[in-house]
Amino acid sequence: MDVADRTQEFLARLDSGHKIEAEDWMPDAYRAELIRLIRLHGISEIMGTLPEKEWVPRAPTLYRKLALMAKVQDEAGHGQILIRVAEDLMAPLHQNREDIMADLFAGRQKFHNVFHMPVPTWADAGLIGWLVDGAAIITQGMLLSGSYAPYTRALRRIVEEEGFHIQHGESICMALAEGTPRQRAMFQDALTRWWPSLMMFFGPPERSAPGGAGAGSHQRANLRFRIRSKTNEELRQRYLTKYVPRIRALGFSIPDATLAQDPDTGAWTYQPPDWDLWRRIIGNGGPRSADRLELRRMSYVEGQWVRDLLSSTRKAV
Amino acid sequence: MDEKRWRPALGELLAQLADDDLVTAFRASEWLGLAPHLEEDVAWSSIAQDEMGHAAMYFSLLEQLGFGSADDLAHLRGPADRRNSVLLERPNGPGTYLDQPRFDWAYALARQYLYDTLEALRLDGLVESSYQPLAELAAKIRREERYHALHHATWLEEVAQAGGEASERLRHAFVRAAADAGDLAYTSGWAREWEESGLWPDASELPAAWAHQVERELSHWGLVLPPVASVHNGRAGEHSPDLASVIAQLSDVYRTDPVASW
Amino acid sequence: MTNPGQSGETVPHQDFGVYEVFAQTQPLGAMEWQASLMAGSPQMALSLAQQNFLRRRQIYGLWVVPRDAIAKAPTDPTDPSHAADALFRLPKGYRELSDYHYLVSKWRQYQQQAMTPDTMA
Repeated sequence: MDVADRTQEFLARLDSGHKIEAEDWMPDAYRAELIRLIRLHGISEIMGTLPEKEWVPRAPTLYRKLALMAKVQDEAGHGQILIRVAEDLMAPLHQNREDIMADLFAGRQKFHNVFHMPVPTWADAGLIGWLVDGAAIITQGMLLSGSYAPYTRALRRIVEEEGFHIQHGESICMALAEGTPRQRAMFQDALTRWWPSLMMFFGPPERSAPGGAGAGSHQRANLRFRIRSKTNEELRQRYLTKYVPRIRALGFSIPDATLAQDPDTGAWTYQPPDWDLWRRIIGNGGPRSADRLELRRMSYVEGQWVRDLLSSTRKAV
Repeated sequence: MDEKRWRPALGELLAQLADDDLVTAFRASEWLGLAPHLEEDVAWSSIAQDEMGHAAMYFSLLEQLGFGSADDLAHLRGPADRRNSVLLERPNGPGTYLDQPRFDWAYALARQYLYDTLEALRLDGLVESSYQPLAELAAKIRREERYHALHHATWLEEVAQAGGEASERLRHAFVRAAADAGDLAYTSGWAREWEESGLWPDASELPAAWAHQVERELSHWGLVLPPVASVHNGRAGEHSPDLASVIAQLSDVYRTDPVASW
Repeated sequence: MTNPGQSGETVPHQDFGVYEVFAQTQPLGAMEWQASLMAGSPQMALSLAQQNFLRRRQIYGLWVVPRDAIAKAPTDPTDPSHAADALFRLPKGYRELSDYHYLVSKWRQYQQQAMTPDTMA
């Protein structure tokens, strides 16, 4: 059977709900899409520890410090789980996590747009926990039904922990919402600052993706491979349905005068974010991209002798 | 002993316990997201959380005794009122967790080991405390601390036996850590009060017991304990400028409105 | 060392020993321990495992692991490296869903429902 036939058979198996394991035969394109997606997910978790960790010691109370530490720890843990899934996929290409880090430092490995942004106040840290994690869990929930079993297993564990994350974020934001006028204003400012980033979170809708024709092809490929089951825009619509009423119920205003829901179809119209800006941000041109990459790079270099030690110990056994 | 005497003695003891763990947790948490090995990042954070949790429990005892609210004590006291060892407030290396962190994993391990050993011995004494809430808490914390000690000892053994750069770094780290460890086991002139009141029955034996155990264990790994000294005595509220910066960060948000609900 | 062909004795097989058997009984499930067996090679262990323990069950994955390759935490609960360390962990109060249960009634005050991972996906 040639590769084309084998690929047809593979796609048919996916369509019948079959799950793929790491050592199964898979078309190169399937492996490539998975590696791209899971590396992006894993490294985003790892880079995603940095914005929130800025607030770990500064969190207002002992309780908040503990909870935030636990949350950032979970993110590092999710990064670890996902990088392991990616490493197993990359093994036939003779690559491992060191290649992911090298690509990150060379600007070849992207990470999620939200983690390029500044976190100037405690309210921003709370907002990440509530609204960014909320967006992440919508994406991850959709990916749970994906065709690649090791990724799905990893996501099950991750989504379970995310349950704590969204409540942790809500808890911080609820306290600010019910707090002093200054605390409320702090949250409103953070919301105004973060709204465009939140609208960018799910990525461009297929049609308006930057680059014109052919753009959004990863989205299409991932749908065909049953790695994902919904488009970026479907996820964004779901997010708006979930969160806009809650934000408004707490008395905060969303900085988009055009935001409206069609009473019949339930579809949201909104001010489209600047997708060129989004592309610049994920191309490491965001306000905090350079600083966070440098933080990661420097600590990685300083820890090289430790990793050398661990790998030499392994060989000696 | 009457309350006039044991109350300040107990306050002093609890402050030492709480402040040691709070500053340890702060320094440990700086590694979050930056540890040299991804798997270790997660493990190290569990330990940082445990230390912060222990600090919170000691602060609650102080709160119950009327010394002030736990969060006020943790955030609003100045350096002169803090009783932690100076060793524990020292940075993990040049830079900060926000900027140019040239953190030294060997130093983190060496310091943590010296503190783990002290803490284990101290808790062994405190489970016999005449102050029942402290005795009960010490028993619970001691069990959790055993995991920390085991984890750090596993690391130390690997680094010490690796030879080359790793072992050299570890030797240097112990020199630097020991140079600040003079106040770690120092009982600040309160030992007699603690022993007489039964708050900490064998307090005065701590310095010798600590030095003895550390020397014995280090020699097992082919290391020697470098000269133990101290520039400041943290147990008497004398601290390096590093502590002021730790407090400034810990209280950054809280001090803007300590009565607000956060 | 004698030649097994000549003396009739056999050279002990290097891989002979106890193998622990793990199987996956759901397509997305975890590998779960099933049993252990004696075998002379990993291939033989796999084959024996299928015939011994899994002949009536639909399985999706099967592992055999030489017991010698497994490092085990002590099962004695008084041992400080005992595996069930969660037993000795102090209650945290900040990292379980139940720690945030009060949010359910909070959201009710705002005529909203609390969100859980189940309702979000």
